[in-house]
Amino acid sequence: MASPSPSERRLQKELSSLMKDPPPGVSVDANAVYQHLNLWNVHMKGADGTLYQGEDFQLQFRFSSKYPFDSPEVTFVGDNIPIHPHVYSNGHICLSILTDDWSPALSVQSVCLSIISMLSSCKEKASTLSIEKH
Amino acid sequence: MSKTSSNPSDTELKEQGNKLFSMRNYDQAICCYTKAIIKNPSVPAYFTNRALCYLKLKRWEQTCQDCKRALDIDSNHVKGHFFLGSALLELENYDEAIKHLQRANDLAKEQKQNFGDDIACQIRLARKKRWNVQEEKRITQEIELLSYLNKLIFEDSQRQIRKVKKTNGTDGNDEDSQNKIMELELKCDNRISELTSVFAKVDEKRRKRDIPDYLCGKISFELLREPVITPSGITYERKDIIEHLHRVGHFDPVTRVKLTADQLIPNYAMKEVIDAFLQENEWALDY
Repeated sequence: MASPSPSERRLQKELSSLMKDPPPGVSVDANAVYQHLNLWNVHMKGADGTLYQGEDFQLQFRFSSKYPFDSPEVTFVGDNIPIHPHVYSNGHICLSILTDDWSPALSVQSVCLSIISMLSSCKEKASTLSIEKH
Repeated sequence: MSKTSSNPSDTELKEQGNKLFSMRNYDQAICCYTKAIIKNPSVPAYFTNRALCYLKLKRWEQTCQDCKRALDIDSNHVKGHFFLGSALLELENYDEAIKHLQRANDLAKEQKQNFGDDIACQIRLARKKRWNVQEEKRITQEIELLSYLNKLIFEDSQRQIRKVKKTNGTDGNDEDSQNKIMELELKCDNRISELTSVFAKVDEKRRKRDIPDYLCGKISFELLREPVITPSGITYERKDIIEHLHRVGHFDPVTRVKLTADQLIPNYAMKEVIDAFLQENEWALDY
């Protein structure tokens, strides 16, 4: 058996810490992740007291072999994509830490927290359709 | 001074051996080194070069022999200690392997020879393997001790029950004896379950082994090996932060303050903390 690469080792550590101590409303299907360590499906519940209370979302994380030096590709998937000014209807998320502001000190956990806070701070459900795509 | 190829000098033979070695022709290389040794048996490098061939061919005993001969000539020969330690590691003689590898590591530093992480990596491997063997032994001994103590408790209880049965002359069928016997049986059960829980705690501790986050790099999430600190006061593994600066950008990953490679300072205090942790927790060694 080949020994795991640094990126796989880090993902394994992140997985066990996310399972042990997940952010509120977040859970991960560990069995599915063990099959494909570079593709995670993360469940996220809309936080209480926000516009998304009671809604369930699915996030997909895709990691390259250069993770954590490359940012993960994170999109909403499934039949419930949140209606939010920074989320496209195809699930694409407009969040600076996922592109230009990525840092290898960030993690799945911190990305989840950023997305929760992005959703939670939304005052009005508006779609991105009116916004010009870039 | 001209030497023909039909009668090459010992240095020429060594050069020839080195060439064959680099082509991975280890058997032929061994022949050359052997001839060089016959011509001049006072050069330790001839022995260590041949030892390395034996190491590649997994002929551990012969590796050891050649290294020992090199060390007889020069007891401070880095490669002599290094290859000897590596062969002893394969022969599962961990204590001696660690001794020689450690010596090689110290000598390499003293003599400013750079072996990268090679020697240190072998030391970690040897310590981890030694620890695994010791741990297995400890577990076997614990299991033996537990079953032995269980047996003693049970036998002691049986002995006392027999005594009770004798004293009242009713073979334990009177009420007083019945009560006493029940009491003794209960005591025995309690002792055995207490003992089991004490041993279970040891086992639990074993399963919950974890490296604290504060000893891990902020990028690899693994135990630090060569910790360096940035002007922001954040500690990273050297190779990870270098890769970050190279690949992602010139900023501190945690604080996002501007950062260049020349600003990184070795964090020796952290290194000492990690070495102390590893001394107590050899299970955490990684190679």
